[in-house]
Amino acid sequence: MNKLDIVRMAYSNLFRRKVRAILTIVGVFIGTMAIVVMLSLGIGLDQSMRASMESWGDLNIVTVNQGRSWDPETGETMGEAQSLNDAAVEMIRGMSGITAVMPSYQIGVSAKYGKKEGYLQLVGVDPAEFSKMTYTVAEGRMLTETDSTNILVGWQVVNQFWDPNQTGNEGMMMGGPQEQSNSLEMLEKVVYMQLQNNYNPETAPRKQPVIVVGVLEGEFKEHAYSAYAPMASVKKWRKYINDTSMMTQEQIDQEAQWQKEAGSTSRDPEDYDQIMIRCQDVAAARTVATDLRDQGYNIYAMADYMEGVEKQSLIIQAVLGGIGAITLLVASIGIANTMVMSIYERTREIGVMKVIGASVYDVRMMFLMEAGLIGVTGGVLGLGCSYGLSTIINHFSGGLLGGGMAGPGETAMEISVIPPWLALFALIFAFMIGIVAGWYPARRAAKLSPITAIRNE
Amino acid sequence: MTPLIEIKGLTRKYRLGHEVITAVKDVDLTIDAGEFICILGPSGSGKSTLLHLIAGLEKPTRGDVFVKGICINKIKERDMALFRRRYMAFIFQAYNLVPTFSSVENVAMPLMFDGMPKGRREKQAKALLTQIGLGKRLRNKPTEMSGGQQQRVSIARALINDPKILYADEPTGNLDTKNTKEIMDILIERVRENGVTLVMVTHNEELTVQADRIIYMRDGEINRILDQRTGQAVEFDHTSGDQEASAE
Repeated sequence: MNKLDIVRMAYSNLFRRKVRAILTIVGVFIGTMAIVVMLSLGIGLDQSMRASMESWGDLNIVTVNQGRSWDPETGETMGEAQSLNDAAVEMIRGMSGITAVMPSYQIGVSAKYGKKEGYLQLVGVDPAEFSKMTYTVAEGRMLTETDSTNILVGWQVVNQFWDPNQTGNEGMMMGGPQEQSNSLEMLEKVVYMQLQNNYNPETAPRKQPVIVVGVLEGEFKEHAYSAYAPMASVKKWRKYINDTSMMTQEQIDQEAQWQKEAGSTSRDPEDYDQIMIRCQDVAAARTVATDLRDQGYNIYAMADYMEGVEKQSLIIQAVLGGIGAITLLVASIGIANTMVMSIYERTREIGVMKVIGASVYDVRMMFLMEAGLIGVTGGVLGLGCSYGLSTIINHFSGGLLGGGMAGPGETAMEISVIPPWLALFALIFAFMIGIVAGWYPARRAAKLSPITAIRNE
Repeated sequence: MTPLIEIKGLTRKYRLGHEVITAVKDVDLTIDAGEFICILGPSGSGKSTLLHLIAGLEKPTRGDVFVKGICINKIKERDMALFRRRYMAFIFQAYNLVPTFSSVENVAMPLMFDGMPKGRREKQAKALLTQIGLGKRLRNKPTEMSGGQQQRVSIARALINDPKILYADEPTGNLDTKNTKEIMDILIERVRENGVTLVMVTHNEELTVQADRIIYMRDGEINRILDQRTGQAVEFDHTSGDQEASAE
């Protein structure tokens, strides 16, 4: 018996009892819909949580800062601070699951841009490492090895400058941070930094012009408020700012006192301010963060917060999926019932078919296929309606939850998401439910002795 | 030459509650190719059970059935299906057509189990139905036809595979005289023209007129075989067999 005939027979047999077939299919239909919609809610929830976390920072990035290690749960510090020197960078490079390591120096300087005055959070980076961190420019270009007084600015940097003549008036009051200006206007412009020695405010600030060659993408990311310059230049400027030779004796004493209280050893001025590590994926980021934290580094990783979120969403998905699965299980009992009934009714016919030359395999396949068809038909209908239901849920909940769930500037999050794998899974699952439910009845039919079946009059 | 069918010491017992009933008792018989055999006996004589055993539809309690030298009660269920499709066909008293299928679909069914594509098998079925005078009933369902027509469909279904052996269990039991004659004509034509072997069970002595041999059965045993070609009759005495049966 060829496959096409098996399907054809199964189909015509199924609809011999239309009402019963339809009712059984409705069972599977509801079961499939329950499982798909439930899981889609779980997935939607998971995705929106993930997306809102990602809008604040890259989950694959682990940041090592100056200072002592701290417990991410209690926030308590522990152990001795580790030096962020080249040895540390090399050690980190040797860890597995890492795609880039970017040490940096950071300085904060006042600056003038056109008529506006403001403040630059300047990060000194190695241009090659910087591009490996997957930063991209919205406009302009990235830094190159030959740059020295060229900088990149984040999307919001322009909002840290204001016109002193308007201060306190419309500039701050009306617009302020609400203003929708972005750093693109700074492109190709010159910014004058005011390098002021930290220890001696009496000295006149050194004027250092820099040119903005690129604006970084990422409107609300952490880096949107920073500017980036080649490491060598920043190191030079930093040296001037932190030049302790201008310190008074009183200041030197106070500095020593602070360090004593903080429990940290005196820091080598050559040490980096920060090391950024880009990992292959969230899992790698998590291991790297834990490892480094155990070694006493001051670690900040978005991935740490993911763990809780993931665990939570896994539980939610398991609960939701479980409810759906129970519905589908009930439907599968319905399929088994229908199949047993139809075998009772068709006992004689099965016997005749065997006498005519149907093999055990043919009979079993016919009934299995019939059960599978119930599963697939219910599955397809259920999936179709799940898409409909999902759209309706998203339509009505969009305004309700959108504000709470979505990060600033993002489109409203969908709370019900049906990814292709879920659709495929639902269909296969519905079919499998049919096959499993039909297994026993089909086996029974196949085992019927032809003559007892025929005698059954 | 080995006979087409050879039956040796065939016995079939049933358990009915606490009682054991011997439906077929120690039967020996040989049937040659092209013979028309009638198994005649009153109801309860075990003639249908004997037919089922010969056709391999049930397993004997004891004894063997050889078809073409192959012991069919030892064939696995899986291979039996193929064996049935290749060598034998069965005609029932109650026609046993699939109610949802048209004549053509019913007749084409054995070919479907053989894996023949729909177009080809239905063409063959149509040709055969037309040949036996049902050309106008090709698309009718069994319930839309008379008993005689249904039985002709069932005969067409039996013949579609060109079987070597036809088993018929009271094929005209539900039909009137006119239809009975027509059905018998179709069957006997197959035997005489195509060399098909026909083993038919009946309790109607009129139908045995054209049979080559008549097997008389009573209480599960053959007590007389009449060869109508030569007019010779063989009688069997089963007094010892009865004692054996009662001992159980």
